[in-house]
Amino acid sequence: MSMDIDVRIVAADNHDDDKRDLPGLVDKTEKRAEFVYGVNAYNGTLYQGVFHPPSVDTIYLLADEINIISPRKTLIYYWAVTNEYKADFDSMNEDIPGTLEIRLKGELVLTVEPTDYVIQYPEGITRGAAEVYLGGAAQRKYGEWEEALKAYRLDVSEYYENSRNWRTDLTDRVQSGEITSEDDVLVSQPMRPVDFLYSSTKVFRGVPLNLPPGRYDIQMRSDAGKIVADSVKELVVFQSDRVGVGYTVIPEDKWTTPEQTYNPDEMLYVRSNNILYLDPFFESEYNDQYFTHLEAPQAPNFVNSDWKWVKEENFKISDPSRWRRSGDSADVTFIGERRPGRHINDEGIAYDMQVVERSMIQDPIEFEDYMVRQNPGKALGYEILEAMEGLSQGMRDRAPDFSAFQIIVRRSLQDLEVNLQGDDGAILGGSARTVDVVSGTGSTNLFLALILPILLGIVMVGYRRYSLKIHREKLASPAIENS
Amino acid sequence: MSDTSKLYKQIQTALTIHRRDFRITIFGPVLYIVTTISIAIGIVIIRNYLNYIESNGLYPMPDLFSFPFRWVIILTSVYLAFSVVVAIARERESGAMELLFYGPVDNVSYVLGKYSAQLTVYCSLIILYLICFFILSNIAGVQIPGSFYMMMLLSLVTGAYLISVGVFVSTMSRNVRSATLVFLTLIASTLLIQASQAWLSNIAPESDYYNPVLLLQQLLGWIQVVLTWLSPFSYLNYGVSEMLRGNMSAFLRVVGLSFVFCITFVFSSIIGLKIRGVRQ
Repeated sequence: MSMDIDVRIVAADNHDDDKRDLPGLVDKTEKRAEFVYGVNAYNGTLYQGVFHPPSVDTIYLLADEINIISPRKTLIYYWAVTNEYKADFDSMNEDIPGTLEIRLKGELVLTVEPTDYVIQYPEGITRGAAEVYLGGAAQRKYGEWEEALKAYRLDVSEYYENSRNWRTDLTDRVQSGEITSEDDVLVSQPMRPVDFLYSSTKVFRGVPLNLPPGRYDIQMRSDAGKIVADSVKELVVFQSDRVGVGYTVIPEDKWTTPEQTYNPDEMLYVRSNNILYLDPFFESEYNDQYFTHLEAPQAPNFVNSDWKWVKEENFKISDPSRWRRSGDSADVTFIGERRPGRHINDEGIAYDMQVVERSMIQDPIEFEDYMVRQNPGKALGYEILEAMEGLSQGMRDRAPDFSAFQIIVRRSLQDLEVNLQGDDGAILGGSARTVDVVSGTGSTNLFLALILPILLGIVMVGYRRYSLKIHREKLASPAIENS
Repeated sequence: MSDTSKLYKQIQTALTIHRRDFRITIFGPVLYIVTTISIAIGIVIIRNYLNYIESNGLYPMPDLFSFPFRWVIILTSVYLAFSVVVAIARERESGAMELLFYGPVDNVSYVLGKYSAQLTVYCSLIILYLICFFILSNIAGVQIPGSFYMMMLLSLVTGAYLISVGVFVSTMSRNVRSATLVFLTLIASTLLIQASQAWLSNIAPESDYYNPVLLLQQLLGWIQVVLTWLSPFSYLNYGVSEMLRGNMSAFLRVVGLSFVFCITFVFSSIIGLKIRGVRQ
């Protein structure tokens, strides 16, 4: 089925003379109806909604994850500001009926029809794993989400009602002298409902794909049996090359500007007399070209594709489901072994930071919550307190600002090896780092190293000149004698 | 004359040329000026890193010495390759090469002698740099990781590859001027293309300059793809980055490819000299 190209100039269609007088308000973008693939691509943490206009010939998806491809007809226009095509799904968003054909090396390997789907985050977006429901389950789960949202709204409404009543009651009781302590107020205060983090998309139609890594070709075949124009694309399904543990490193004196360390076995060059907070997170390394185009299909192609570490979930003591350790079952991916795949459940193992200094294992460091307190007064400054200490100092109304392993870098300290160790003694693969304490002595001393080549040059050139001089003298002396 | 005796004579002659050129290079002042400048550039980079660490408190990176060492090595290998270009071309231009070929010198012993002399100097300089980086490591209190030694191994073959390119260019050139021009154009364009391509690829699609330079960006991109497979600088950078991410098979592949290119260029130089002849 070929598509008619419906070219429209919005400004012309509107015949809005008032708008034409105001150039800033006139929409001069040329919109045309085109076949596009809307893609909900899983990026290791959440589903990223992108679309592939006809100008993009390759779709990139993560392997062994459910991704949704939605064949659509929509209005697209070129947006010169960002040099890319944009889709106007509000004006046109037509499902294209038919089947999606997937070929591997020319052979048809899969034919899938669009179905209803919904993507949900029961613990909240970026807080927990995404869940995809298909077909009837999609409608049911969306209904459950709507019910939960309704219940939450009722709870909130009830809370505000109770709060109003409580304030009125409190005022009356204060005036009548019934309130004798702060605790009386706290006990009777209504509890605010827990924030509604459960998130869901609407029920859409799309083709769910869960493919192993490979280079495929896809095309949409309409109900009439014809290939839909612009639907033929290459599909690159890829996986992470490595997985590991990265850290957000927070220096005590610059807690708002932390650094990230992604590479396993990387060096952390630090100044002595420093306190560092290491907040670990799970990470995967992908081909930069593939991953960038997964998230931004219209990004320019790279010539030399590099590798890219992608931060995934933060380390959680109470939720070990995203962590794995060396020496577990055979399907585990380890750093260095280059066997891509997903990590496994650690089944409730807690981790401490193991510190090795001069080949001596030090006391393990525990993962702690910390609070940051601004110094009172106009002068800038803050201090980082352990959460318990913060609570004891009256910071009750706040959650901890961050959670991390604290490393104190003393002046006398030599280099440290740190890694995450489970409570059964196993080391978490890819969590090792070296903390290299850099000397604070004046860096101009470095130029002392230049003495070596200069000295060597003087010696060699001097020796050569001296030996030549001797040689010339030797040649000259018989000549003098002869004369 | 038997083949064994001919081979023995060729080796002897090559060793004589090697000794002579080695002495000329190490007793000259230019080598030490270049070495000092190279290390000074390396120190400036390290100093910047240290200043950053001092002010920021920390700097996570795979190896603090990796980038400065690569600069030191690139400058040194370019100098050595350039000096062999000039040396061979000058001998041809002055007629010294022809004179040598009237004696026991032939194309095999000449190329091998010249090449091995520069290679020996290069290896000696790597040892010198290692000592310098040990001194720097002690002054700065920065440890030298194991990856640094692997990088040295890689730089040995990439440097050897660059020097072999220099030998090839000079054996095929008519005179000093053309040899110098060809070699410097080759090196400058390689480095310039790499740098320009990296710069242009950083221009964001939102930038006003994106569209005007798009074609140039794509063109340089394709040239860069070719260079990735040919340039010793690309091999050095790619090999180091893959080694730092633990991909030793890619690292060994780079070492192997550099070695193969090295042998190819030396062999081509021998053939080239025979075809091209010793006269100007």
